[in-house]
Amino acid sequence: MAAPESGDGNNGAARMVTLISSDNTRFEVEAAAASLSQTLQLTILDGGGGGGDGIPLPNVDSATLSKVLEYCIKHAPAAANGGAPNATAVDRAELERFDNEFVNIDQSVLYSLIMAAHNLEIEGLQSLVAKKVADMIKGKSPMEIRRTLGFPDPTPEEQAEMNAHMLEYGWAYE
Amino acid sequence: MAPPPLELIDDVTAEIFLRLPPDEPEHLFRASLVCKPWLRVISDPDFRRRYRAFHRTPPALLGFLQRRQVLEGPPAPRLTTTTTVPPLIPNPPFRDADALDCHHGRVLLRADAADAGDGDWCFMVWDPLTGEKHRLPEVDIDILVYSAAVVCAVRGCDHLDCHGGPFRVVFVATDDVDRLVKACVYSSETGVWSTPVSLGDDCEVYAQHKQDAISIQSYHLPYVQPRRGAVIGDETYFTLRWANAIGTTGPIIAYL
Repeated sequence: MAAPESGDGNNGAARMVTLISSDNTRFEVEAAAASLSQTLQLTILDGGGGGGDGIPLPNVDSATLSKVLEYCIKHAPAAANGGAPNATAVDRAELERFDNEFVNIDQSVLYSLIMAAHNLEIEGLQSLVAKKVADMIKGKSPMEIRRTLGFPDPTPEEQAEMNAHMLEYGWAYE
Repeated sequence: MAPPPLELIDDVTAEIFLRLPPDEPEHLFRASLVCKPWLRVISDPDFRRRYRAFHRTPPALLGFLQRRQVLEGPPAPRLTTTTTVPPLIPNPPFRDADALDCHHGRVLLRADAADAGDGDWCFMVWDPLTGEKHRLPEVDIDILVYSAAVVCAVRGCDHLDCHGGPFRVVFVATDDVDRLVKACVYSSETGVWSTPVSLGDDCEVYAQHKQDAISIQSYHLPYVQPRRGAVIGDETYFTLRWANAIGTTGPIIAYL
């Protein structure tokens, strides 16, 4: 039987790549997990990120990157299965439980996560966080949404505009 | 510590809004009032198209326009909403107007003297979202009975993001003088009606009934039934009637 041609390295050991966060922390992770990022996948396919080189990610801090990688590592096996058509109901339920727990975090972390997911083009993660934030604002008034998402207090100009809107669309503020 | 200000780029906020459920337009509406950048993202036609594609839903149904026959006194306002969003324009111009047709986010009204301003009546196209009214010039046909439809002017449009774009009004009537069935089309881009054309004998149903009418020396030729037409793709169909027979006009193409 021919050896697989994928870059899984020698002797069955998974190929590892190094990612470097904006605050210079190095993360060593399986190439398969990092490849959930469309952006990183290209570099990795080109053979980058191995050895002492590492791939610098100047827009992602270490706290966010470790969270991103936690997601990627959990989802990598299913992604390798091509969306996991063979996954059992138990596997799927486990991923769903993980996802629900994963986004049960402070909104400021959600923001960093969704920005990182967007920049690194990790579709599943972006979708997961976007859904969470959408659920947080659904059914809320504009003021409640601002509070929920930690908007700064409106400037006098913004406040005047809101007051005008409130007169016109009172129902939307209830 | 105060939470950091929300600094999400438009592409990312769009991803969030895409996941607001489409069953109620209020979710997007409320979000659009949060701040200017959010309003900008939500009111972008590209976003609306993506939103409908994402949820595989047509634009939301805001309500029903009811046409009721009232023998005494003016009828009550007749927009019955089907969502939690109240009519955005508080006083729809229905008081002295009849809703004739509604397609692609526009309503065709037959407006009364007060709105026409010259003691007569006129056709008016009303946008229920913006409140914008567009008065049509007089049709160059002596109208006995008529029907009309308002449609988006873009050929082959899927109507996912054409709101506020150009429109056409397709008009068909039986002429009071020569009793011929005539049709013309108004374009919002040119602001004029096309020259009326008469239905010819190449319309089989019409030719057949006309023949029948002439053979029994009936006074009536087949005439336009004053009821809503059917818009199918880029074509509009109206019904013709003679005695108890009903047929269609054949396609009246709105894009002359």
